[in-house]
Amino acid sequence: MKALTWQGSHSVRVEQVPDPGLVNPRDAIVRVTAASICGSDLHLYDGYVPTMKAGDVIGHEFMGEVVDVGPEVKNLKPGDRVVVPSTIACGRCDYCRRELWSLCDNSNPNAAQQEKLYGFATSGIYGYSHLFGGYAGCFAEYVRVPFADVGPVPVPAGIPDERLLFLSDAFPTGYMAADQCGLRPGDVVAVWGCGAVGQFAIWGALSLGASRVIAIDRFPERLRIAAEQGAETIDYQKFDVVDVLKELTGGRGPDACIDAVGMESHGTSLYGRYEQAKHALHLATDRAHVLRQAIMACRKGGVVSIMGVYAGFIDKFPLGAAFNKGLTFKMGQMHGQRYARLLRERVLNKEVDPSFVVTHRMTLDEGPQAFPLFRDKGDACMRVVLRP
Amino acid sequence: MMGTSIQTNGAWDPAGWQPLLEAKQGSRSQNLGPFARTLSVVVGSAALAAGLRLRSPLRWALVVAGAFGLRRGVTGHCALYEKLGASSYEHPPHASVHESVTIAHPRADVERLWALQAPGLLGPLYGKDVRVHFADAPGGQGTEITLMATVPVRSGAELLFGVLRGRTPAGQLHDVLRRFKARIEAGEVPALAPPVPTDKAGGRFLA
Repeated sequence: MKALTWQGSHSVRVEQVPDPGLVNPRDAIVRVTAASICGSDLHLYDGYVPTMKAGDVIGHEFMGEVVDVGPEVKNLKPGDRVVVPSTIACGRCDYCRRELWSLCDNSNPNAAQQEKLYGFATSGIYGYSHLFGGYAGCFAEYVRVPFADVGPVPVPAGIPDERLLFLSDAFPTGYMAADQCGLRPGDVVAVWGCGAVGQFAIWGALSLGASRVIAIDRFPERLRIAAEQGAETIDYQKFDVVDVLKELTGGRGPDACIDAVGMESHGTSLYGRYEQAKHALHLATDRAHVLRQAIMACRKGGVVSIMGVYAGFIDKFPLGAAFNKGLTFKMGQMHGQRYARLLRERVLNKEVDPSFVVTHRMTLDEGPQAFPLFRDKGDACMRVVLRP
Repeated sequence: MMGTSIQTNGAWDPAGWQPLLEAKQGSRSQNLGPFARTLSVVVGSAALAAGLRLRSPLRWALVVAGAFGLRRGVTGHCALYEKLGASSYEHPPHASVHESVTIAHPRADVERLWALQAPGLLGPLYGKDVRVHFADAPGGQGTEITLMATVPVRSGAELLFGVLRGRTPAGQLHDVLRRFKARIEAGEVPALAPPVPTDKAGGRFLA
């Protein structure tokens, strides 16, 4: 089959790879009908995530049609239309039972490798390095789906793919960012990053009762879409974000701060350049400019919710500020199986149409062009949908 | 919270995170202790260096004696000691390696399934000094299962080689436990390809 493969930093290529097959009894094979390049795919593309190998099939946000199932998959059959959560989980371990699906104990074949780096292993993720299991990703014609009896979310026919596709990753990720803030009525939420996850975090915060959401980015088109959702906006190139957030909140600071950017925050200041230089010299793996800002801006006793991905190490983490302000940190890969069904109902009820984040539609063959376009935000690109 | 133990060989030592067994084997050829080895290396090296610099008939005698001393220190073996039946070498200590996981199933189930599956999971390790201990996990989280093995203390180079290959004794035990847990909880072991035969489990450290 045809697949988009990682070849090294800033290099992806369409290749012929072997078709996937059933490996375990709870597997299914899904024919991909739509997939999207996620911001966290850029971390692979830019070479920030370790344990990638040339030839790895990447991509983790997808939907499609079931074409084969293993003997233990009783709830799906060939022909079913499904959205597949990006995190792979067994559904039966203690973590899955607690709805902490991305912490699944039993879905990462390379658990030993991750234990060395993180102390414990987390769940597998499609197409997201060997550290996260080494599973082949979704930028392909077909995908093997482990634990298909608990992962894939059935969706009805007659609704365009683009309205459902983001149930796979970006929509639950953004919603979880807001949900884990534990919002109370009247709370003010600040969201750094107005890509798709940030946009869904804005939607989530407003739907969970935030009185105001303040969105921070530098791209006018993204800020415009955030404003259309009802957020106030700050262009971080024009203002001191921490000062403005204090001003906008009567000197208190936001009750919750969401980092929807992660390890590649682009701070355009001199300090941002310093961070880029450190990364280039391998003195740090992650750039935590946004996270530092969020900690400084957050009100005392507030919540910092991190959904932008971090992979390795940061320095100059303002732990003193976090500790003495009594901040609560919530973070992690999204628990897709917890949120995807809930959000599917919101989509089917027409409370939200997640396709508003789609700016570009391309074929799998155009993947090598799509990555730099998305990374550089060319043509106001916010999300690319790839079709095999 | 009482624990029970089932042994595949040897006795369970509830106290035990110290070496459980006295050394059962030592090097067949090593009969020099660390002090004698160090002395041999130092004196042998000095004699060798002096011999190579000397310009007299004594030169080759010193070179041969130095090389012999150096070899004696490096290998830890002395032919004279062997003839005399002497040895300053102490048998290497064995270390206890232990790994635990918690399985989200009642203890009775876990014990029963372990008894059934241990031979396949342990592969070549089965029947060796590998012991297992079960205990109820707090808060109804299931069963804590601990595997413990006694392994000879390896040289630094061997340990480094094992770490680089990802094959340490602790890693091997943890791999067994991880696969057992996945089978019990998920009904299958996560894999990227069809499973390999279980007799491939284990490896040179424990096997």
